[in-house]
Amino acid sequence: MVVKYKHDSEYKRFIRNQWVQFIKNIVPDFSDGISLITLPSEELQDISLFVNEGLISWAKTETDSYRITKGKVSCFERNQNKFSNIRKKLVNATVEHEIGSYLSVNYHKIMKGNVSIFPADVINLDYDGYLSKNIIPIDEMFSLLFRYQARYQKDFALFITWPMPINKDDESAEFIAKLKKVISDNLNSLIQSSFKQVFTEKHISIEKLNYSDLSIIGIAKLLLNASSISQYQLTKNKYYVYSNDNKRKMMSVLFHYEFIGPEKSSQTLYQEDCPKTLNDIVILGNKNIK
Amino acid sequence: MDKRSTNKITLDLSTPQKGKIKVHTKIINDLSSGIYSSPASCIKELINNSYDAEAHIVTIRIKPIQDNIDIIDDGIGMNALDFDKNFTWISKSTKRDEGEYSPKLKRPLIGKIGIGFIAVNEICDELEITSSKLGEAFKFTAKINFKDYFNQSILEETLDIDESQKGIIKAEYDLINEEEDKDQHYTIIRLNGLKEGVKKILDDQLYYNQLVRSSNKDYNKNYFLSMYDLLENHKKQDLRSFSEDNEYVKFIIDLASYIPVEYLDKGPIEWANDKIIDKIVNYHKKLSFKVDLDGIYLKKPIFFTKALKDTSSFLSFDESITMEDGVLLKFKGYFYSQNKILYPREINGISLKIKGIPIAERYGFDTTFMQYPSYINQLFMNWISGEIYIDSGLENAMNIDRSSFRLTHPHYIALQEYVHKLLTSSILPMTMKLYNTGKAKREVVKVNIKEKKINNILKSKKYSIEEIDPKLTLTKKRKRINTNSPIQIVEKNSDNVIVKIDKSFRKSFSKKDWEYLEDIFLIFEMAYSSCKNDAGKLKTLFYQKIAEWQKK
Repeated sequence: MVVKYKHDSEYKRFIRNQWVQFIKNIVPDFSDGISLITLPSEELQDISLFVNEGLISWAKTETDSYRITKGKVSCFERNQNKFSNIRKKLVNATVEHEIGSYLSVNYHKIMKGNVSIFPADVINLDYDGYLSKNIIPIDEMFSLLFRYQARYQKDFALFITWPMPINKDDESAEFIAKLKKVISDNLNSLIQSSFKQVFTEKHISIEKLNYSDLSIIGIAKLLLNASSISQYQLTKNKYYVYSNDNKRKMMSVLFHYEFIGPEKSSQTLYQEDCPKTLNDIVILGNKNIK
Repeated sequence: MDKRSTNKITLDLSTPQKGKIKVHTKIINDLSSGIYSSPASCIKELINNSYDAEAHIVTIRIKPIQDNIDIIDDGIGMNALDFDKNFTWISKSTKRDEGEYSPKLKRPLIGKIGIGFIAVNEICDELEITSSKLGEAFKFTAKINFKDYFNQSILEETLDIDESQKGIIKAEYDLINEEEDKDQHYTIIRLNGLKEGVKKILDDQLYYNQLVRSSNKDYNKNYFLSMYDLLENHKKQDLRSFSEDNEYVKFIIDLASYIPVEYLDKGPIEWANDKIIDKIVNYHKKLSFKVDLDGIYLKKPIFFTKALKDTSSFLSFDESITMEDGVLLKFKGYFYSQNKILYPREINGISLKIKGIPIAERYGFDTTFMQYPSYINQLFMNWISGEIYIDSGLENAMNIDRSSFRLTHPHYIALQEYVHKLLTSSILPMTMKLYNTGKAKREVVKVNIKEKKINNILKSKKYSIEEIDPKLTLTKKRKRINTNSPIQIVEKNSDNVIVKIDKSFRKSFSKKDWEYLEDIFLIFEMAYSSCKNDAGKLKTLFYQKIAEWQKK
């Protein structure tokens, strides 16, 4: 199936390919399909991609909608119109509104196992809008995601994509402050000495960080906090900055987390697991895409 | 119309508002009587509301079986004031202020105003509705909480309302208006907190698992491709009624019976090339109303296939009767009958439809044929089904619940007389003819089977069987046959066998017993005629021939 993707660009295609390769590496046997949590948009682009790659299967119905026949799909969409279009298009996928409020409001149900969204193999948070516009703070959402996955001791891939703000106050001041604080805490932490060393080699101060570096490092650190509390270890990571077809700059991070349990988890683990040299952050366009 | 909402709802944007949904005390009995206790009866009310709102397509999403059902339509939508006016005070009257037809498409309005929103409290704890009205740049969302009021009768206490206008509070809601694109028009309803019993009914996976476990071992389906597929599956199970099938299938069929959707392709009678039936079918197509339930279009579950063409018949009619009060009772429809008992049993009856919706209990058929005398041709009445679409003249004969008629209303009586006369003078004779034709065919088949069986025993190129009349005198009988032998082989050579059978023997056994005995006696006589009086050989030959007969 040939699909024309929205917000397409050579770099976005590269990112999508990275998602697929990541998943195929961590879920070698996807004969039963993958379990996916996603923010799909009306065009169901990432789902179509995974169908094309054999990770999920679907069949068209009499009513021109799609029935997932292999795998499991759970979608979140806050816009009412888009929500209803997605709900109509996917016959047997879970479709809910805003992800943060859903995860928060349904805490007890999810922890009791009464909700089939979890566990997931892949959580793909491909945001159109700004991270601070989530209904609940992003770090709280990360914390819930890890807790819910940990209930099943489930290894998973997490992809997050978000846009660069155009105007100064597109991202809230609290959010920016939170990112800076988590980096600052890490720099001031005695056990983060290697991170401090590489950071100070590259940058003068946190205040001088551009948004892409600030948000990538900050998000990575927030995730590491949440993952370690829920006894997860980061085993793979990739970081990209790119522009899509309308020249909008986007940040995209890919992570793989393994559940290691209480015996193996420790605070020292995550010091290695974030962009040490900031050269880990690949700016697509500056480098040849491989 | 005695309608008054005491909620003070406005169109102000972004201001949280609260309100209550109340129900007239007289309606409480209806709601408590259990008529809305099934998911189908609740959801059909919501679908019919969408139809009244001029939706072209209603999408219902039940899967995956979790805690909610989504019902999305592309109708003209409503704003908060419309919602407050139409759905928060359920009075005894179900008539509408805006007349009997929808504004643009002129569809006859069928929804029981407001009932749907309250009826769903039997199946869920909360209803969330978001709607945007055509031409307005905002939408509203209301969350209706039933849980705190379920099975309670909390009387409204507002002092400034006339006692007759007071109602029982059945729910309270939170409402907010937000901006929306002016071109958008829709209504999205989500039923949250489904009751466990409801989830079990809607869980088709249990059904497919059951089918796999049953004798149908090669069954590998886990969803239906279409309504036709669903009905075919039901037929293959050789069930006698919809009621014997799984709850999930019953839910779909019950739902499809009560909403103004089209017939299955080429339905209701596949081979019918009839103008009146075409008119009925086209009427539904012109309504341009579809319901998508988890990827299949719901269609009317009435379909008589062309496989039955040779053993069935139908008669259509388009009539009008001018009543004494000057009202014109106008209707059209058809009767179908076939040469065997009609399955599923629920459609053995007559479906009277007003505005396209059957006025009857489950599945929409009156199995009494408007109280047709049960002693008249009861056998053939089991073979008949009919649908009548009332164009005008019967609305006032409906009971307030819109699911039954006042049997003493003169218009109902007039229609009843017409139907009974038609049954007696045309439909039953038509059915009798089918029976006779079928009987003749059955006789031919029976004779062929019998001849084949006998030929297997006699193994002759030619044979004849003569029945000896029992009225013959005993002496003449004794000359012609051995009185101890019900069957005698009179002549036997390589080409020809002549057999005589004593009718009186045949008549002394039951029909079923004789069918076997005739074969056994014939086998014995054949063995006897070959054994040359050797008893041992007779025994051997007899059992050998029995074994051959058994294999056939």
